[in-house]
Amino acid sequence: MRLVDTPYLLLAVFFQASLFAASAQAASTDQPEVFSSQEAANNYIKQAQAQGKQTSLTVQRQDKQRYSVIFKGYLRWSDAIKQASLLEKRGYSNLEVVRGRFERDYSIIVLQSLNKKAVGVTFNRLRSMGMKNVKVHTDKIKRVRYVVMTHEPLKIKRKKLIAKPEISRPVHTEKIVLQEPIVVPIETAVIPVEPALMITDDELEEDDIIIVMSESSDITNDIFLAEEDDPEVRDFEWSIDKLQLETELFTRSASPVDHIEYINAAGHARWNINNQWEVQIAARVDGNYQHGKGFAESDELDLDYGNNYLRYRDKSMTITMGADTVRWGKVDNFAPTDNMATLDLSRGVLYKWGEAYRAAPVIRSEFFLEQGKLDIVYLPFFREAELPDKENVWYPVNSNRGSILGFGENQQLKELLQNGKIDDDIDETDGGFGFRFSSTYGAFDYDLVLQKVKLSTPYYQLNPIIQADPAAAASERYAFKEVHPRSWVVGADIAFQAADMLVRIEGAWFSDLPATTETLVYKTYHGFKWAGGVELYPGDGDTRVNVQLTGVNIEQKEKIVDRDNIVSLSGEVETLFSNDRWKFSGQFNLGLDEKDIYLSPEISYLGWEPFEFYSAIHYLDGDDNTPGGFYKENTMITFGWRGKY
Amino acid sequence: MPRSEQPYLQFIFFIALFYWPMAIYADTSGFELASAVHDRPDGNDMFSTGVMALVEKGHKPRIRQMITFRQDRPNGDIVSMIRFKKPIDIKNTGLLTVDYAEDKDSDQWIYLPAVDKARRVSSKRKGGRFVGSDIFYEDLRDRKASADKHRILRKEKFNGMDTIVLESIPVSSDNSVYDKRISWIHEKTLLAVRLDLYKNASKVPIKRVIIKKIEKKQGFWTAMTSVVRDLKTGHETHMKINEILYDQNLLSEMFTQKYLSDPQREKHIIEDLLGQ
Repeated sequence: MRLVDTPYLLLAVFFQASLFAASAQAASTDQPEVFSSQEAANNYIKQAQAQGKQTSLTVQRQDKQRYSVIFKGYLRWSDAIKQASLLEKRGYSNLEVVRGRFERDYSIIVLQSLNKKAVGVTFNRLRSMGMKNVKVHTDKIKRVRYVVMTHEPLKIKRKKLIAKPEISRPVHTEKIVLQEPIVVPIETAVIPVEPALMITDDELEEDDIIIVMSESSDITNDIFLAEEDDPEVRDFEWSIDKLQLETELFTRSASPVDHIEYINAAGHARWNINNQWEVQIAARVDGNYQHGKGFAESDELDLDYGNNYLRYRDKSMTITMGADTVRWGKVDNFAPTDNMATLDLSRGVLYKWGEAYRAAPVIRSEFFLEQGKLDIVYLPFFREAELPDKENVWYPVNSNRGSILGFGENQQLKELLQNGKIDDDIDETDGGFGFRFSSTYGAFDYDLVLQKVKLSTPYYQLNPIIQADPAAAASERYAFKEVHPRSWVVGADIAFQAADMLVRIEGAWFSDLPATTETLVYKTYHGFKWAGGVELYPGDGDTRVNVQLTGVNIEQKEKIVDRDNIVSLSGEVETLFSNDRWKFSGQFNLGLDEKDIYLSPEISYLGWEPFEFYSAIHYLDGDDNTPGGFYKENTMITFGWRGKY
Repeated sequence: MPRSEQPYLQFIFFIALFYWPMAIYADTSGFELASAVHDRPDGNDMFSTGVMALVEKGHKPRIRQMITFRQDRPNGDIVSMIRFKKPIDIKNTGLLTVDYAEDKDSDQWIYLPAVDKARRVSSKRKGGRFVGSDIFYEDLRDRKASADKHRILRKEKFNGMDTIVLESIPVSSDNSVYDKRISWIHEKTLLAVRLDLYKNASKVPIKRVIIKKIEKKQGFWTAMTSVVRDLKTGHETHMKINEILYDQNLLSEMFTQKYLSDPQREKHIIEDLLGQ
């Protein structure tokens, strides 16, 4: 029992223990007379005694919920009076203007009643008049009733009542009613009635005490009133996850494209069938409108599925069947163990971290263990990376120039690419499987990963017939074929805090990374991808810096045309200013083994939530065999708008 | 349970601001007051729904709506989770924090729905505005008594209420972004009904926190409405609790990455708590 309950209990014990009851054998008993005041009861008793009757008085005390329709928080008396006058004009009378509990403000009481329904009607009517600051206040009042019974004279046998020590909760709604009539001797017919409880703050029950130092400003009240609804708890919900419009202006004179307009919309609907089952449907639309003289004009509007799944949850697991995006790995942008998801390469470098993915068919089981989580994913149908149209500037093969992303200058390749075709049909097969165990050890979060997956990033294999006999190029259906080697992957990642930085390290060994020898033979080699990054807030302010060193090492046994030892420094800087209404961000990638530059500063206006207006520069440069070099003509300025509903 | 083992987010979202626990080496009475504030009862666990309005002159207010869970563990650790519900661009973003009873760094993870990932974040971040508000990350965490030296300055009426004015200065300058805190402790409720925060050796406060409404909920004094004002820019963060429930026997596993990464899991718990 809490301390605040004690006064009520003591009161009950006091009354029951100190009173005497009678087991009366009355010959006859009149109807009880009920009075609301002690004085009236006493008068009635006197009259009855004058008639020779014996009387008994029962004092009944009850806690009652009282409802008040009230306007609160007027700091000035005049304001309260003004509002009261307005209410009177609208037909409300008997208004009472009172001071608040701590005399800090004034309130107008429109109606006080024990009848909840009547109060509700008044409240709703005032609300419908647009008076948003009307409130219903509840409090407890003590109602005392005096019940007088009259009897013929009788023989009294007294006995002492035993106090009942317990009162069931909630005490503040407990009625304290004397169960047996008090038998009052004629000579002491009028008994003093206990005064109602003096209620002090300490004795008040929960939710009764309100201390208002000063009301919020009107503007804030309006805001809060508008937001009073509690968080959505709905079985069905939908949202537009993204809307984006962007125009991209190419700045280099050698650029084959003048501008691109891009639109994107994505949304989902989710139905929570019950606590365990959930269904979601999701879709996206992407439109690319490319204009220029160097490339063929390209108008592309694609509808694609999103995360469409049936999901089951219980205490120990979650099972997902359908299409989902399974992102593994801890390091931003370049996570070596992130091989279960399908990449979206349709916009090249323009996606931000986390955006460059597409949903893929999965069967996923997440088991929650005592010390971590085991994630098992099977990809029943392989989905390769999403690529743009072959005419699009972000397509990884440039037939005009005769080059492939990642390959250096090679005359033979150039001729084959300029004259041959790309076969991008892939075999329909499963995408593989993966296991990941995630746990926390002290201040370290770590994951252990085992996968056997088809890599979604495309690689282009020279037609073996052409490789053996270049003269066959003219007769072969294609010169290059898109391939996705299947590789074992064994990896791990870890995240921990060091000094004021958050450190993330990740690495993975691959059994089969694709490469092309100098004789243009396609092969796969063992390889290793690694990344280490830190996230920090310089000056302990609003600027976030994420810097990471990444690498790919291919354990080739012969010379290859690919980069076999890639080392890059990449990252992101983000700072908010002007009360977070503006954001400056910058992404960068710098090759350390080759010249490979990507810089992208962006300024955004966030003040009109949930929309964002932005402008960015995407600067690319580098050697021919690097992304910066391959896409350097795509240096551009963008202007855009994005938002959610 | 005594509050000595649990302050973080005890007053729903960020109201830890108002506890401003303290310790003392020179002024015993200051320390005792600080301890009393720190040890205020606030239940074994807590659930709340609340709204935060970022108000700036000449601009439309920006709204953050969130729910908060907090639990005090038997070993004295305090775990809490904030889940944002509005605006839509941060909807379902979650922040899970473990404040340890022993003297070691907190652990903190954030769930980013856009990438469907929960990731560890630096819990040493003290400065920086929390979701664009006037609340710093430091203000969200438990501040142990030993972090400050305390001195009672005077007794004073504030907003008509009897308060004790307490000065708290960090024991070590690198354990806080603030140089000094002066709090007006309401004697009856042991809440800091006003708090002035000083930074960069300034003689005037840079920030002021005022509690506007206190209610006793289930026997626990609770700051229901409050405002944090940046005294330099005039930017204000108004906070209001819509619903608060103490001692609901929340599940321990609600404060794990299992729940952090899957907002749907807490849905039926919220339904039960809100009686929907």
